[in-house]
This record gives sequence, C-alpha cells and structure tokens, in this order.
Amino acid sequence: MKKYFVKRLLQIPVVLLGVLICVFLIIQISPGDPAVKMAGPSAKPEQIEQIRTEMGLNDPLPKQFGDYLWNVLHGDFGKSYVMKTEVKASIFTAFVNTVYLIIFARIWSILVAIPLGIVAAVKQNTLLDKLSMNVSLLGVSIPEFWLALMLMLLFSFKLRWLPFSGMGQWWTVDGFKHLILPAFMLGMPQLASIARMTRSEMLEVLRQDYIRTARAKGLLERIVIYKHALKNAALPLVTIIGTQTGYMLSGSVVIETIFAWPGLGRYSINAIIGCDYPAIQASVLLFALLFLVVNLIVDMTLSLVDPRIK
Amino acid sequence: MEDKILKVKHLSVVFGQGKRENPAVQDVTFQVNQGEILGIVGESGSGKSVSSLSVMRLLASSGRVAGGEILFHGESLLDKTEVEMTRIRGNKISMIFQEPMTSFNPVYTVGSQIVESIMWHQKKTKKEAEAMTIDLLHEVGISFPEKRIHEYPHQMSGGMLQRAMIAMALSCDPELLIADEPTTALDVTTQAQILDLLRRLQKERNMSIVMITHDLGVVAEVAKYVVVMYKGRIVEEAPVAQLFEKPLHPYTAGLLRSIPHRGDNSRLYMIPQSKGEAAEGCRFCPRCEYAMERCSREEPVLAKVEGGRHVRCWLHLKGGEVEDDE
Amino acid sequence: MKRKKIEKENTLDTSKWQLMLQNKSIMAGAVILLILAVIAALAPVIAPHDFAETNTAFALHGPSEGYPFGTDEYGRCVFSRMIWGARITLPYSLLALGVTIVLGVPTGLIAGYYSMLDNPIMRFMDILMAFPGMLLAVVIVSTLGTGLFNVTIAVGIGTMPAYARLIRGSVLSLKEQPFVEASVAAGAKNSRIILKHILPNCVPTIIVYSMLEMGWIIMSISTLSFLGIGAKAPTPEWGALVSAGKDYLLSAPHIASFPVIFIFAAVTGFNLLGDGLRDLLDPRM
Repeated sequence: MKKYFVKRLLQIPVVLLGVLICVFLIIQISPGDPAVKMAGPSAKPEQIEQIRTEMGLNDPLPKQFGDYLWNVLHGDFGKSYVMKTEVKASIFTAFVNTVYLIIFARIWSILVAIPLGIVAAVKQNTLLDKLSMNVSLLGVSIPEFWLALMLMLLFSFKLRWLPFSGMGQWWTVDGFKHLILPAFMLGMPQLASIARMTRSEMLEVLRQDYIRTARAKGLLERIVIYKHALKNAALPLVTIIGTQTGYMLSGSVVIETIFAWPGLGRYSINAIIGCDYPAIQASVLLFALLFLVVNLIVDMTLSLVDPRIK
Repeated sequence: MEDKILKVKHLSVVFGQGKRENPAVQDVTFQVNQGEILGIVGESGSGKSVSSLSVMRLLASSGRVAGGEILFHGESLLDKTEVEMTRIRGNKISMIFQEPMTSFNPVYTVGSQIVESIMWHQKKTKKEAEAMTIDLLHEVGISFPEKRIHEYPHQMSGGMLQRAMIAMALSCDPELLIADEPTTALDVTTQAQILDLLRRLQKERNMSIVMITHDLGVVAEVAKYVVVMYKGRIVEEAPVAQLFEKPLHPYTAGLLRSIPHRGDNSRLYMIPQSKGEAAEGCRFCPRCEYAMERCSREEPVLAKVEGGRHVRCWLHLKGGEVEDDE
Repeated sequence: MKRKKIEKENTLDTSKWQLMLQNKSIMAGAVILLILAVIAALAPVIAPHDFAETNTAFALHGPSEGYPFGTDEYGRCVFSRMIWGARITLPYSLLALGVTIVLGVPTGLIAGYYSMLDNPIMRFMDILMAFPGMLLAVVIVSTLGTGLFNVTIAVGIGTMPAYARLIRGSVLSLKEQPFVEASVAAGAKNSRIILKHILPNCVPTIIVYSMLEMGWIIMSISTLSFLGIGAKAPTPEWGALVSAGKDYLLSAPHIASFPVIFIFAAVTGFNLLGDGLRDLLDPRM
C-alpha cells in the first residue's frame, strides 16, 4: 500500500513538469511582447530593451526555461505584468481561498446528494424517485452563471439576507454568510450527478447475493442498506466524487468571478483578461497541482474503503 | 409423535403484474417434521427456490404470495409484520444459498459478519460473540478459526466459505435450516464433505432441514422425505426410499433413469424435450411418455395414494380423489 | 462529410428511422432544435429590432410596448438580441464541435489502431484531461487571446481528449472483430481498413456523443463569454447577454434573466436528442 502511495506521489511532479513545459511553450508562441507590457505604454525603446535583458528574454529558450523552472521550485513565479508586484504573494492567498471554498462546497453537496440517491434507490420507481431524478436532469441544462446571478438577485438584493460579494473574515459569522452562496452554487451542479450515481450504484448493490444473505440473517432493512449496501456502493462513488471535484475547479472560475470571491479562479480570469502571463502560468500550475492532489486523495480513500485493492 | 414444525399449504406465488403475471408456484403443499430432512427436487424454473424464499418472506419486490398458508409451529408466517420476521430470520429459521463466494459481503471480514448475526439476535458482547464464532468455525471443520475470522471472503475458498455460511446460519441455533442448492457450486469432493457436515450438524442439534436441489444423488444422501416439483407444482411426494424404489410420476421416473450407472454402457436416458407449453392439462404432458388423452385436457390434482405418498398424475388416480391433510 | 453521410444511411435501415420517430426523447429534442434553427435562420424577419439598434430614451425598461422582453442600458431590445444571438451561439457551438471531431476522431483512430502510438498519445490526452474541460478551455484562451473565435477553438480543443478516448475505446474493440481480421488477411491497406471498416462503425458512437457534448459546448461558450473572455460587445452571444445584465440586477433584472431561456432550450434539446439516440443506438453506453 505504501509503495502505491509513494508511486502516485512521485507521478505528481512528473505531470506538473509536463504541464509546466506546455505552459512555457504556449506563452512563447502567444502574441504580445512581455517587455513592452512590463515597461508600460510610455516607455522608450532603450528602457524596453533594458527590461528585456533584465527579464532574460534575450537568452536562449532552454536557459529561459531552466531559469523559470529554478524559480518555480523556489516559489518564485515572477512579476505580474499588470500589478508589477510578485505573483507569488497574491496567488498563494488566492489558492488557499479557493481550497477553502471547494472543501465547503464538496462537504455540503455530499451530505445532501448521497442520502437523496439512497432514498431514490430504496424507493425505486416511486414518485419520489422519478421526481428527484428528473429534476436533476433539468439542473444540467441551466447555466451555472445564470443561476448564481438569480440567487444573488434573490438573496442578496431582494431579501438582503446574504452579502453578494467578497469573502469577509472567514472566522466570523459574517464571513460564514459570505461563504453560503458561493459554496452552494459550487456544489449544486454536481448534486444531480452524485445523487444519480448513488442511486444506480445502490440499485446495483441491492441486487447482489450478499444483500439477500444479510436479510436472511434477519437484520433490519435499515442496517442492510446503510451498513451492507452503502459501503459497497461507496467504492465507485468515491471515484465519481473525485472526478466531480475536478469539475468544481472549473466551476470555481465562474463562481468566484460572479461573487467576487478572492480565489484562484477569479485571479486566473483577471490574469487572462489582462494578458498577465506570469500570473497565467502560475495559475495553470496551481490548478494542475490542486487537481492532481485531489486525485491522489481519491485513490488513497478508495484503497482504504475496499479491502480487495490492498 | 411427529411434530410438524413447518407446514406449507396451497402456496401460490406470482411475479409481475397484470398481463405479465407469471405464476411461479401454484398450489404447493408440503411439511417438514421436527428433526428431519425434507428434500425438494426440481430443475431450474420448477419453483423450488421461490417456495422457500416465500417461507422466509424474502421474495424479490416483483414477487408476492397470492394464496395459501405458511405455518411455523402453527403460527402463520404470512401474517407476521416485517419486524417480527427479522426476529425469526437467522434465528429460528436460517437459510444458506448456492453461491458462497458472492453470499458474503466482500468489504467486511467473514468473522465480523457472523458476529453481527450473533450480536443482533442474542444479547452477547462482542468478545463473547467472537468466541462463539471461533467455536462455530471449528465445528464446521475450518482449521485455524482464530485466524480465519479476520479474513475477507475473497481470501477463502468456495468450500471454506460454504462452511462459514453454514456456521453463520447455525450461529443462533435455528430450528429449521433451509439449504438452497448448497453444494451445486462446489466440486464433487467438497460436495460430499458439506453434505456430511450438514448431516452431522443436523443430528447433533436435532435440527430440521429443507434441502433444495436438482441433484437426486444429494437427496438420496441426506433426505428422509422428498418432494418433486415441476413447473411450479408438486408432482410427487414420498419417503426417499420408496421414491427411489418405485417412482410413480413419469417425471420422477425420468429423473431416475437419467442418472448414469457404473457399468451401464447404454445410451444415457433423456427426458424428451417439451414440444411447447401446455396451456391446459398436466404441465408435464408434452414431455410425458405415458400421456393419455385426459392429460392434455385436465390437470391432475395432487392426491394421496398407497403408502401415504402423494402424486399428481392421472396414471395413478382412479377416481380423482382429493385429500386435504389436516 | 458526404461520404460519411452515405455510409450512415447504409448502416441505418428504415426500421431504425421508424424507431427514432417513435422515441419521445428524440422527437422532443429534434423539435426543440428545429425551432431554434428556424429562429436563427429567420432572425432578420422575426426580430422586432436590430440587435445593435439603440434607443437611449427607452433604456432599462421592463417588458413593454414594442419591447417584449424589455431593453438594456443602451435601449436595445433584449428580445431581438436574444433572437439574433441564436445566429451566434449555435453556429459557433457547431464550429467548436467540428473542431473537436476533426481533432479527436483521427487521434482516437490512430491511437486505437496503431498500438505503438497508443500509449504516448493517451498519456498526452491524460495530461489534457487533467484539466476539467472548461479550465482547459480557459488555459487555451489564455494563450490565444480573448474573443469569440478563440473561445470556440478553445472549447473545441477542450472537448477533444474525451472524444479521442471514446473513439480509441471503440477502435480497440472493433479491431478484434472478425470482419477486420478478414480484411487484414485479405491484404487490405491499413488506411483502407480504418476508413472503410472501422470508422463507419464508430459513427453511431460519434453521433450520440456529439449530441450529448453539444449541451456542454453551448454552456462553455456562453460561460466564457459571460466571464468576459469570449464574445465582445455588441455581439449578442447569449452568455454575453447575461453578463451585460449583471450590473443591473436589482434595477433591471430582465436583462440578465431572459436570455437563459434559449440557452436552456438548446441544451435541453441536444440532451434529449442525445439521450434518445444513445438508448436506441448503443444501450451499453
């Protein structure tokens, strides 16, 4: 088991390196001259040339990449073209804020989706089942961003219950209020798919022989479902939840922008709009890192839940 | 004085609804005596498993009991609430199944699943239950039971798992054990061992067993009484020796003839293939060598014949006497 | 394209057409999409106003005379802009789908058929898939620059890895089929086998998956436009329309609320069509 963990852990830097190379190459071929951007609109040609040398843009490509790699390993992502300050200062806070948001969104969506799926499976083909599954079908067709706006309209503007932007101070009650809408919107799209998966996995498991044995032992139906069935259905569920958390990363880009949540998503969109390439590079890297870590956690959880994998 | 601990009377079970209704079991009547083994023989589709699942009230959601009675110690099981049934299953009446490999929950240890049963039905602590489990595993012939209880199902062989399943079924000392083809999925040597085990345990605990199988050899080994089922109906019922010596129903006779004998080089007998479904009349008629004109018109009733046996066949019913036991 | 169409008709006989007509899901989806297509085609005729036509005196009014869905901050008719938007979002979405197919199908075919290339290609696809689709599109836009066309290409590329994987899977299983082995034994060239035998059998999968992905593609394009990195003003792309309304949520909620109707309709239409086709053509999927 430990061997597997170490192997997976080692894969992360390899993939990240691949990502880094891609990102680096992409920036090279993209339009625009970084030195011009850094210098500003009113700079003279000599100033631009000086900045260009400073930034190492006249060095051969491999050296540029080597330098960049070295810097990244030391946590230095360069200077933002737009803000002229170090990228690393602002991006790490943004990173943490996004992780915070994602964790909350993930937790609440699991707490709601899984029981929903179980109920749908147990009461298969009844009104409840059909209703919840069809509602989730609709949810897929409504754009996230629109729904977020509508919720904002309702709760922030019309009802004035919740703030409509920003993060507040996370340890306060006010901070929690800021968390509610973004976390809700982030977890919502997956509610449907997780509930559906739970339902189909449970249905599959409930057909198995060992469920019949459990009932034949005289166990209460409640125990049969939650103790015997759920643990078996959990395996593929963990995988799905892991994949979905990846989608959450995309979602964070939209949700953070709408609710002005100071996270990595909003940071990266601003970086793109401003053509701030060091910031873009750093954002991409951190997204990749986040994604890979999530996958690793999912795999580790899987091997914990299923004794057969060991 | 025979005490009939299980009486099934005129049981009918259907699957599906409306137009797609399928009568899996029709008018099935049998009983099990205290401390004896009843064999139920039939091919797949004969309704033998469905009948026993009905006793346990474990039918799949699409199936329901459409008529008849099931009496355990004189009490109707069909009238019991679900909670009352949970007190009976695994406790007074236990069941073991055909596929031991898939009948255990793969994500829990074998030991913990047996302990679960003990702790649920009896007021024992976990330690006590574990000790009992080790004893049980030992009793069913599993070596090193202290180690085995921590193993997962995928780590044990089919034969061992079947023994463990028997241990689990017996953990609360049930009065009746229903064994649904317990040896079918096992190889011949293991089969013999499991049957030996069941016989021994049955004697030691004076337990009643319903042994469901398609294999007449198994029936000959263990059963005292035999019930033969075909397409959802009982076609013959007799003490085992009499059944083998003189089978009355053509189907039973066919089954016996198709058992290969050592030294017999003649062609293996095959019950003729059915030429289609019989809508009316005797269900076995299309495949019956002795079919008479009456057989295709009118379905025979299960009637008592000489020697206290029952048979459902016009060959043996002279006046069509119908007898209803107590 | 024409050649594919002919082969498609060979593999679907008349009884399958009948099945399709009877399938509620397919019919519902097809009807919805047909309506949208008609709206897009007849935009100049049905829209009461031009999409860029301003009327500042009437700005930020709710649904009223001559303006069924109200006006935005420049006095433009929201309803008209929505209708004209059908000519933007839908064709560009189809373009993105085209990009995906053109890139993804050959990649999948090659990866599946030539096992030596399979591993490296799939590893690369894995790295691409390491980014959830929209994120990948965002990254690509960050390279190419903003704008509707770039966003379309980006979304097309973003959907590609999943496609390639799907096709590759199909190819792998088709490769083992007797009719392929027969072709190889008969000495057919690889390209011929791929084009004449394997590809036509992938067509149902491609069609079903395309329909299902269209929903996502439409969402992505409108989302990216919403975020500001896609369509530029005054292009009435549906996502951009919603974005334009977000600053006026309290005072004029109708600007942001109505455009979603078409997005919803389009996505639902494709999903219904895709679901129905999938149940029909490939129940295993």
